[in-house]
Amino acid sequence: MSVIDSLITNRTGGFYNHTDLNRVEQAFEYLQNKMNSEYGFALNLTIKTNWTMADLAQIGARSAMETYRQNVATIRNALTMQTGTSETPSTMRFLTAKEANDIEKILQAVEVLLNNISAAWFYSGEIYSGEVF
Amino acid sequence: MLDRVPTKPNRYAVYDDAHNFIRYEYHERADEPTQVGDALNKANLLPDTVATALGLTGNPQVKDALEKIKTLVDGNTTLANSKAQIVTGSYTGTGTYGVSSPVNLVFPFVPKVVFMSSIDTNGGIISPATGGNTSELSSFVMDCGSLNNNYSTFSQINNNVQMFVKKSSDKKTISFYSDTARKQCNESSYRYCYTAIG
Repeated sequence: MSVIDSLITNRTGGFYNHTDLNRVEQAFEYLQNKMNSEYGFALNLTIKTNWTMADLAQIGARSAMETYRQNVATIRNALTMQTGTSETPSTMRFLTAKEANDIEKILQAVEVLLNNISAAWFYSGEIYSGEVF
Repeated sequence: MLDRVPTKPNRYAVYDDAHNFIRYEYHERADEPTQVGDALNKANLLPDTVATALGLTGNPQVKDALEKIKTLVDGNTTLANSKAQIVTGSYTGTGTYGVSSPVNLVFPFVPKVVFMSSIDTNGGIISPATGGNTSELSSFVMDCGSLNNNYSTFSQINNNVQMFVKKSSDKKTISFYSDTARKQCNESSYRYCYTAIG
């Protein structure tokens, strides 16, 4: 079990609040750690996992939300995603339920591909240079 | 470097000899290893941190990293060889002198200048100013650039003091002799110190 299992992708409405942000930010943190430590990436996301409702009312919240959106884009762009994978929202302003779902679908899709990648690795001593498997 | 990103990991297609598709199969290891081994992947072969540290951009491969390392090593070697080098050493005089018994100082690099001084048996540094006999060469500076492969005269203090000095063909050995052990900086039991800069 990981934070990826708690992502929400079936909204039909509602509000996007600090609990959503914290859940997604924890997923950012989980994926960044996994990709950097196990897959050779060097992601350097700006992550905040302690959002409060008051934070969203602060001056600078718009900039922080853009950082949040950029994190989604950075993670999505680190791999070549399967055709049909949700796109990163172009803005966090007036976020729709679909776009909120898309954000979390992207993170789920990245986790699936990471697991696929490691399932296909060969190990030292198994194959010879130029060998086709 | 990029890892392969399968959507159906470990799926293989089976064909006949005419390359007609027969079916898909999924293969998974069932070899019960006692040691899993190290994966041949981006994280182990060329992670982004290493590529960045080497100054590589785009999608570098391991061969690019190796080539960059060689370039960096060659550059640093050239730089190191262009920097000033210094070595110090000493020897104890044997009392011999003359063209058949020169003092030979061998250096790990081509010296440009050599500083010589001597310490007498009582531990005092002898210098032309306090050594008493001003005809004795016991401390001097040698410009190695002016030397050649044949002995040539080198004198300091006054023209009565002569030492003959040459350098080897590879320029890393300085040899000198005179007509007394003291003048040759080879007086028995005296310690002679030198510093070479190249």
